[in-house]
Amino acid sequence: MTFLFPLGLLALLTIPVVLLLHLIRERRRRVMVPSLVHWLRVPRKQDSRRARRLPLTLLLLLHLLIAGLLGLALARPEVFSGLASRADQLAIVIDTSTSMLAREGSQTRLAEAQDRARSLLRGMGPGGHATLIATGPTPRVIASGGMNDLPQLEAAVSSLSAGGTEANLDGALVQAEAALNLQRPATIVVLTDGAATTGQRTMAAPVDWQVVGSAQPNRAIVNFASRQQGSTSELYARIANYDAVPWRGAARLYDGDQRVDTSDVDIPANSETEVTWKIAPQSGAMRVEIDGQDGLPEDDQAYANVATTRPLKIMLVSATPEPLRRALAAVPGAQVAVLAPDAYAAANQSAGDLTVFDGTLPAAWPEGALLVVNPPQGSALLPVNGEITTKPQALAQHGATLAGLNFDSVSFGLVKQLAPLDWAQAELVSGDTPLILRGQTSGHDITVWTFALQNGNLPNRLAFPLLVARTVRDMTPAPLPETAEAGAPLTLHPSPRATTVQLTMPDGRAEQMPVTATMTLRMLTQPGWYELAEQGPGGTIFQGRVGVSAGSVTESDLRVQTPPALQSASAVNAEAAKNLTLELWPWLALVALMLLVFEWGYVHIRKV
Amino acid sequence: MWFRDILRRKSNANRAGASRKQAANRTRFVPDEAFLRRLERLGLEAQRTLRGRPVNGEHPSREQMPQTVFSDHRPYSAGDDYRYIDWNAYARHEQFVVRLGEAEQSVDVHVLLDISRSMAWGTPPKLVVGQELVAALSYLAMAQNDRLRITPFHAMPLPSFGPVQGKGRLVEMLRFVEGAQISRQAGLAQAVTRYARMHERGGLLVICSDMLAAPADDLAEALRAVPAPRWQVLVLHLLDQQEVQPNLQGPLELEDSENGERLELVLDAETVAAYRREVAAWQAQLATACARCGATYARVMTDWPLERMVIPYLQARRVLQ
Repeated sequence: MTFLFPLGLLALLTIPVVLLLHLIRERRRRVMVPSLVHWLRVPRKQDSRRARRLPLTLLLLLHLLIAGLLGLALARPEVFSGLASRADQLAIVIDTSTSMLAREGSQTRLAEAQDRARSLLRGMGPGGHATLIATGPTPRVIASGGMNDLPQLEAAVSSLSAGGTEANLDGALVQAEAALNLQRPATIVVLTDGAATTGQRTMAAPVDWQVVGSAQPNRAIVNFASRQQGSTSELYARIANYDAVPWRGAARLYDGDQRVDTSDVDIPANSETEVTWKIAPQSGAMRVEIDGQDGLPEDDQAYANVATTRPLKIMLVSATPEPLRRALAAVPGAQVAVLAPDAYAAANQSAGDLTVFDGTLPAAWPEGALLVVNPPQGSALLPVNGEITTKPQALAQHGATLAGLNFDSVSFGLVKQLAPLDWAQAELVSGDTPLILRGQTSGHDITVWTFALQNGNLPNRLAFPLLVARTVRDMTPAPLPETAEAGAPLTLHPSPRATTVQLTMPDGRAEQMPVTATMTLRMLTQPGWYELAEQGPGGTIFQGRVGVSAGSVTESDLRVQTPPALQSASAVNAEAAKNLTLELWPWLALVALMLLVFEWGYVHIRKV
Repeated sequence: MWFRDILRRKSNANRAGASRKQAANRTRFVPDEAFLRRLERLGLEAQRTLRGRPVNGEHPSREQMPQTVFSDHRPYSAGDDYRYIDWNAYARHEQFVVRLGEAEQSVDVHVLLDISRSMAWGTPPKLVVGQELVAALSYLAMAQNDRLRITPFHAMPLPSFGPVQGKGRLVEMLRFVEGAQISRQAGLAQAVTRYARMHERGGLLVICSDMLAAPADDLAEALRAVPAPRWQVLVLHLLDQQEVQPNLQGPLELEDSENGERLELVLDAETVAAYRREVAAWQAQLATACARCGATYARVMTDWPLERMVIPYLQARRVLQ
């Protein structure tokens, strides 16, 4: 048995009050006597001298029973019966989205769901098997086992934490179905606060959709972002009021720890409003907060790091750096260093994020990404078989880098013919001659332009700076996003020079991960600032921060949501699933009411 | 309604015996004419010292009159009836003497019925028992050709029935007694004193009351207002069994039926015993006060059957003959 509203148990405090009242005020039976004359002359014993003893009367028992029943009814007890104890298989889907952090009395919705899950597990039959699925933005099986594995299952339930602006219940239900052997009795129990994204569908097993928590008002910042307006930036916040009454409050904007502005906010009932601020160009970690005074304070703050530009160290090795230098320098954040080929060979240069070799090649590939333009003959790194002059003809474009670029009027002139490269794929081809190749070899991301810029008219075309910018974008580490939704996966393109990435959570915990070309971080579930540091052999290569906000339109609305219409393919199991849980409060209230009527009648009869 | 019977607190009547159950059914006064007829063989025993009317009464008088039934002589005086001259005495003494006999008289019978609030209490109510007693005694008085006056009282005498003589107004008398209603708080001494002032001739005074408004001193004061030999006083003290031996236990709130005052008490065996001693002492004081004033004190329990217990009891107390 679990309690859907444990705070209601506080009503049981009326029991000692009832006892105290009965103790203080013993109910004296009133008796009519012909006269008090003689009674007044009788020596009277003082009450204090008489031992205080709780009068065990029928009325006291009735009052205690009524108080106890009403206290229990207020706590909304729920028993799990029927199928839960008989089902061979149980799949429990627990919603771990942000809205499950909403407080319901003394505990969160997630804690209530965990209690229910534990009760379901304990009520499982001896031969039962349970699968636990936690679902935030991404559903995942967290534990599976039978009654023998009950401690592990309960530990898995206890380890859950809420976070994420979406509950992928659809995916979780699919996983639950997949985890069940449908040849045997099975039940899926969904413990969610009702913010379901799933629609009407037919399930292979009966689903007991249990809504956790009750409707409550909430104020939330559901969107917070910046946009560039010329040389200045604007911050934009959307604040929602999910309540039946209007809300008036203040939105405070912070740059770091310093308050920048306070705006009065007036939102009608069940409505949203937008607030904008103009911020200085040098602004960094911006945070906005409201005094929501609601059950979900996590979505009363939102974070955005407007200083997300990532410095790029680009080394251009070329005898004739123009116009490539200009195009590279136009890339945001790019710091271009130009070296003549002789100087590069002589100097022991530290590698940058991107090294561009124009008409030259080193003896060995340096660290970092590489762009090779017009590779010279005689290099073992890129064997060149000869040169060919391309004819104007239709070009074949492949890959996302060149998508939308127009090379129709571009003349590439003399083009180097490379020996076939098994590690590279052609992205731009003229006839049989590849013009742009890209691939990875020996851990190096290499793009090869087989043409010389000086031989054609590409530098004079609009496509040139776009081609340079996209190439640099694809080959260099991507800047961090200015904001992210809690629970949403964050994709990183760390510097190729980095060996580890360290992520520091808002609560101070740090986690180190080995670097891969593309990293997907799924642990950004809590709102706040996440510090990210890319570390290489020589120290920290890059340090940045990402603001993660918990507010969202779906998760911040704590009002009662309609459960989806799920139909079970098995009618028998579906009928049984209805009896899976039984709320006891109506019965308790009914019994209490009957006792009240009985008590009234009893008192009335006594008076008569 | 079976549960109501189950849950009903056991009443005093339920705990008593069969006679008590019968008594509980007596909730109002219903004249029983057959019973009254059976009473005719009885009579009120009035003292000889009372000043009555020697006309056709049946009570002995301290006066002597020429009678055929001899008890004494006196010298003949002119005007005496020749029929009462004792000729045998004249033959022996040559003096005319007249034979004298004891004269019989009718007396004034005053019945005071307490109708204070406390008389409504009891099983049966004391007032009902009082009405039965008053009706019985009044019938005897009327049957003996006494002058009867019935007066309800609380703190003062109320309008009376009578005086009547003879059984001609028996029905009226019964209706009057039946119509007695519970009224206010009682004041025995005040009521008796005022009544005595209104009826200075005296007579047989029957006070039917529960005496709850009359401590012993108060009763003594009342009896001093009706002194012998002018008055012969009969005090009928009505008592309920629960009043004498209350069957109460635990924390209670007692309410005075007279004035509504309340008293919280925790009753245990010791307290109830003390109460019983107090009531017994009170009755003894009343009896002593009556004895000092020459009044007859008779304690009547309300659950006693009138014909089988009350009448023999009153005969034993020489109230009835």
